[in-house]
Amino acid sequence: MKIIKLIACCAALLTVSGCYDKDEPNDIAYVTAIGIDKNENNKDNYNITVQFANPTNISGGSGEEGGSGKDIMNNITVEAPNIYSAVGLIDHVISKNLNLSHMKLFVFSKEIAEDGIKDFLETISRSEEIRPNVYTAVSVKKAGEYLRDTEPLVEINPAKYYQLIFEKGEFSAVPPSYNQNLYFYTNIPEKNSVIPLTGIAESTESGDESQSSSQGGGEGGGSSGESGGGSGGGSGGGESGGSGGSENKGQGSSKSEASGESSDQQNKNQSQAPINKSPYEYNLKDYKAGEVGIYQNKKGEAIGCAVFKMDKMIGELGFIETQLYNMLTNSFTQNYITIKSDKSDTPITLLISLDNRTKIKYNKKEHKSTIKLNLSGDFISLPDNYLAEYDLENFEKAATTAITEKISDFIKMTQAEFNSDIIGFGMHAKSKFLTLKDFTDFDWENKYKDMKYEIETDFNVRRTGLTSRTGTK
Amino acid sequence: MEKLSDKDLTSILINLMYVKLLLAYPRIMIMIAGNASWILSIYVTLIMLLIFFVLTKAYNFSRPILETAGKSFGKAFKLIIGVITVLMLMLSLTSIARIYPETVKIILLQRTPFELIIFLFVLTAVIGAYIGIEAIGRITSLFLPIAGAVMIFCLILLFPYMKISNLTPILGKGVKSILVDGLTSISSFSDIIVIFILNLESKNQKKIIKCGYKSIIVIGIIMTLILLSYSLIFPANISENFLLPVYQLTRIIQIGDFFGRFEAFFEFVWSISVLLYFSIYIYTISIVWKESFGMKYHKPLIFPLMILIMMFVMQSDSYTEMNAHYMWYSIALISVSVLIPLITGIAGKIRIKEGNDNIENN
Repeated sequence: MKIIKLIACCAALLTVSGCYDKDEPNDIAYVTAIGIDKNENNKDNYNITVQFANPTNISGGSGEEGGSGKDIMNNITVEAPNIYSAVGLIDHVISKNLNLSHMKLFVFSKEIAEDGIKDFLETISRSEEIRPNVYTAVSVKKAGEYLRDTEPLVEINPAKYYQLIFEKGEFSAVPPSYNQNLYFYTNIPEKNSVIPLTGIAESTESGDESQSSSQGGGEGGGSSGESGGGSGGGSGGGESGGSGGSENKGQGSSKSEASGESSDQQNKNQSQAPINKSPYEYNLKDYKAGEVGIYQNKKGEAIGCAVFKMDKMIGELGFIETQLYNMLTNSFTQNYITIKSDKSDTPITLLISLDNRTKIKYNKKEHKSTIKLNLSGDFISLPDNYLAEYDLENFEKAATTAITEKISDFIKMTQAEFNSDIIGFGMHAKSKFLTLKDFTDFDWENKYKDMKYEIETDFNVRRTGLTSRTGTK
Repeated sequence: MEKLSDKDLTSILINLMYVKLLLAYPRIMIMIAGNASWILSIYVTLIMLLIFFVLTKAYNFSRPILETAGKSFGKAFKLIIGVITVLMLMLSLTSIARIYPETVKIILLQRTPFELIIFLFVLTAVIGAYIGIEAIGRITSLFLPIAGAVMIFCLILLFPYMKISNLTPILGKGVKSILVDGLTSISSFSDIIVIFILNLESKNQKKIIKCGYKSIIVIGIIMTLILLSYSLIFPANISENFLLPVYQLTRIIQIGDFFGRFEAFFEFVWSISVLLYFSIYIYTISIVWKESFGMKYHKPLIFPLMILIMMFVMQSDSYTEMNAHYMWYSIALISVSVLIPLITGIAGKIRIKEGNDNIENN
């Protein structure tokens, strides 16, 4: 009997050697990102770029040999009608099996996003392999080009690179962008989506900055993609806020000569970003992806966001509006902002954070939302000629007005230009209805543009850093 | 004959109903009431408590249902009750036996043949049924606290993803949907029939009734918590699209950057719960069959039952077809689960003389 039991135990061991679904890690190619572009020859098909990691080139420690940048990632583009047929095709091209379970990013080209991404989102939500927390983004140029041209330099692991770029938390200039949320908000009437904009900073030869590229910046600054602010010269005059108070003049001809850097490596699109002249974030360029001035050729960027109405992209937000969006949707942790005071021409820099969650209340009778924003800030840099430490009350008032006006302009823009409730006022309005049918009959999607709003901003300066001037010289 | 203790009976009842909550039942309730499914859950729990109260008044727990049927109206009545009960239990088991391997195939074993998955699960359950109800009861009692801890831990980890605004409009699809259409979801408690079938160690009527109430209340609480969490996380129009709400909930949990596959714990709990469910059902069906046809042993019936169950499971061509009929299964299950004990209980009260009972009413 003992021998039989022993044989049975040994036989049982054979069953743990594998099953139909066994996968050896060495036999798998892990997909890190997928980019979807239009196919110009066949409208029913897409150019789908699959980026997968080459694990043998990702080293664990400094002592090990490992690749960097492009060595660790491979990109293959195929023409296919959907994501999984592309994956199926590529499976025949490479020896390993593609696995999407560690995927980090979906990039849609702007053209695809404008046509609608519902079909792709349906596939993504149906797949058990694709995690609900895969980042989504819209590339201002071809999605495939973005994936091919992105060269992580500091980070070796490509999946980690995307995680760091899209989930910065603090100081983030992109909105949260999980594919599951995108799926939700493209299917419900009470909130629309925004997802990050990505682009590639391209260097240009000296004096070649007048060239426009296919990137978003090439279409000018300003929100909603209509953009003023050309690069060629003179003021474009694009309005970022869409209303008064925020004059975002396009930068004139900015000869790209960064201090200490060779001008022939400056991002050719950065000159196209409009400069914000409102007191909030004074003198800061309202960058979108691909526009940030960096001195490294072909550097991927994620900044600003694409605005959706249901599943179709209808516009773009720059860096400043994205910051405001994050504040209103409680996705904001902290960030450096500049405020211009009437007392000095030099802007004051503060580290701003949300003191409490932003509260939104909706009054059904008046069709009006009240937004309560609680912010606090620490002085980071102050002008030499203005002792703001001794004029806190006035400064706080000026800052409160600047923030309130900028937010007001932003909300107005979402109503007038986009007619898309990206902030999610509808989610608060829903509570005033008893049943889903009542809310559907109310037709929030079309009534959003007429919603009145009131902003109550409470802003306090909490700390002055390590120094506080005495005011005597 | 093997007998169950009160604690093991409560564990078995909770596990039987818990398995349904891990599968398609929450979705059915969400389809009925939308984001007000948690209100529906409270409502059906109260209705079920009321039904169980009526059943306890009509039924005498001193003997199992078939013994009562036999003693009240003879062998023919016992046979009829037995056959209906077997059919009802088979229906209940085959629906789960089909849905579970299908979901395992969707989320875990995509390349493994479906038939092999069913075969392995039924085979394991058959081994459990051979071992007997006492052993199954004890294992269930040991396992249930682990399952409960995983569920509570999971719900706590879901807090950051919850949005109060998703609960509104508070009445979801409306009062009629909750109060009238929602009545079909009482079938999530249909497994309560097992309390009338199994041979219990305790003849103390009060204790047995307490086990019934306890299991209904525990399941009611778990169901409400699951539906409340789900409604708080998933917006109303979208929530009914997902086949497995509990699995969907576990998928979104992310602890820091390093731990993002919490569903692995869930799948572990889920598999053991379902295996215990299968074992209890196969054992119960074989017992009812044995009693109905006056046989001496139930063990020789287990293997043929396994073949029968596998045949029934294969009847539906696809999972989609199975899902489409799930509502009708549910209505049939709850009707039989309530009517059989009620009719038998009333028959017993009328026909069996009180003097012959061994009831301890203290």
